[in-house]
Parts: sequence; structure tokens; C-alpha cells
Amino acid sequence: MEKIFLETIGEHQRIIYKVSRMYRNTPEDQQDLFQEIVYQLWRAFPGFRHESKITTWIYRIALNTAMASYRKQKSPVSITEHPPDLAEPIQAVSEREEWLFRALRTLSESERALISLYLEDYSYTEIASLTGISENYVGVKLNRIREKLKTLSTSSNL
Amino acid sequence: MNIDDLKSDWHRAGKESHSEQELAMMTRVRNHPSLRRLRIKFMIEIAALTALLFLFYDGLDGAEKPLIVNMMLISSIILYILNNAVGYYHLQNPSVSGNIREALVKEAQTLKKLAVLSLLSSIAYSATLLLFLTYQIVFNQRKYIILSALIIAFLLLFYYSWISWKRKIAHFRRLEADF
Repeated sequence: MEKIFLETIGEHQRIIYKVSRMYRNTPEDQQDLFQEIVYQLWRAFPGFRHESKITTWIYRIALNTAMASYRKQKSPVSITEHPPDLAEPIQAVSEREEWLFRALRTLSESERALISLYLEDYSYTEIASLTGISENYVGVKLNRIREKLKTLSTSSNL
Repeated sequence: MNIDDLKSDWHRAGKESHSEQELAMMTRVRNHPSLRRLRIKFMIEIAALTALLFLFYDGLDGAEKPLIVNMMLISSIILYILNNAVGYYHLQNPSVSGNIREALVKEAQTLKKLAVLSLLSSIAYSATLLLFLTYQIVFNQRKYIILSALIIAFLLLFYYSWISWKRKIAHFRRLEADF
């Protein structure tokens, strides 16, 4: 079973990476959360019944772990750099990626969960089922998040 | 900016940077960032309390105190150890099943129970320890001052412990309300 688990997690570790980066500010904390998520996935793996996609299951455990592992907030997100022009093509993917995660970390924890699922192309129905809120409310919340991100992208202080 | 422009960045983000061997190590408690540290702390506390259980009768004149006082101290030490074990078990198994909202509600409820158990066990342990140590003591002014200082110190510890639990529970209630 361990072999299957490790292959599966190895294949989908980007999900864990993205959740860790979205929920923690420093690389050390992100690495700790990554490890915590892998640990919780391993403990939950025997109970995985293939009723949902493996990626959905990983997302559910990863987001729950990120939110359940309470810690006092350390320094807030540093807001010093100028945003890259998002209309530009990819020459600086890492810079755009950096901006994306910085922007996501300015959102509340629940908003981060919703937007990550949306960005991952989950439908409103799936997001509602994963988060436990109604489809309509998912729409309302995502609209608010869109507005926030839009404001952030035009402001010069992120 | 259209939010959908961010989707491609999101899909590109991350890398497969950990080997299967590294991932395997992450599944072990001994490599866990916080559980390993807590397990060591827990073991030290259990060793110290067990030593107290074995030594108090001879070392602290248990034979000269009534049976009920001895039994109360033993019970409170066992309760304190049990509280540690329950707390450790919960940290190892947080509520991560079900949807996010359900998990948050469950986590807040569990934390509330843990907070009550933790405070009760601490109060019981401190109170019975004080009772045991001061039983049959003839008090003078100096001893009253020492006893008062100890009681104030314990009360402050309980207060800060309660505040810390309250903060944790409030965090989950806030998250739940935020959804």
C-alpha cells in the first residue's frame, strides 16, 4: 500500500505544494505544512474508497489540514514589490507565480480554499460539496474574491 | 485583469521536487515537524509524573497522610497523564474528514472538550499536590505567604492556559463563520 501511496502523492505533489504555499508565508512554514499534509494523507489513505477523484481527495485533506493546523499568525505578507504586468507573456513565470501566491495570501483562509478550487477548474457543484456551502453562495463568494484580486492587480503595493 | 488569466499560472505553479524516499520519510512521526517535539515533551512529562507516583509515598511522607489524600494525588496524576495522551492523539488525528465546514465545526467542538479536560486536570493536579504537601503542616505567617504565592502562580497559569484555548477555539469559530 505504501508504494501505491507514494507513487500517487509523488504524482500529485503539486497540489500539496500549492496549498502549502497559499496558507503559509515563509518557506520553512510551507515545508512544515507540506510535511503535515503528507502525514495526514498517509493516515487517511486506507480509508480512501475511490468514490471521488484522487485529486479531489488530496485537495480535501490538504485544505482541511492547512486550516486545522492552527498557529499564531507570524509576520503579515510583505507588500513591497511592484506587481508584474499580468498582460505580459510568460517570460517571468516565477515572478508571476510569486505575485499569484502573494495575492492569494492576502485573502481570508476560507477565500483561499474557494479560489484554489476554482483555479483548479472545479465546478461550483464540486466546490460546494467540498466546502459544505451552497452553490449560490460559492458564486457570491467567488465574485467577491474576483473583485479583490482585480483591485490587487491594479494597485501598486503588492 | 481577468481572474481566469490566473488559472494558467495556477496550473503551472509548483514542481515535483520531492522524491518518493523523501515523501516516505514525511509519513513517519519521527520526522514530523511538531509531533516529534511534542512526543518528546510528552514522554518527559510522563516519566517525571510516573517517578512522582512511585516516589511520593516514601519521599514525601505519604504514609503519614490519610489514604484519601494519597488516592486523590494518584488519581489527579493519572488524569493529567490521560489528558496529555488525549491531547497528543488529537494533534496526531485532527478533524480532516468530511467537507471543510464540517471539519471546522468538529475541530472547534473537539478543542472545546480538550480545553475543559485540560483545565480540569491541571486544576485537580495542582490542588491535590498542594493539599498533599500542606497536609498536617502547622502554618505560620511565612508559610501562608508561600502558599498564597503558589496559589496565585497556579491561578495565573490556569488563566493564561484558558486564554490560549479560547484563542484557538475562536480561530475555528471565525473560520466556520467565514464560510
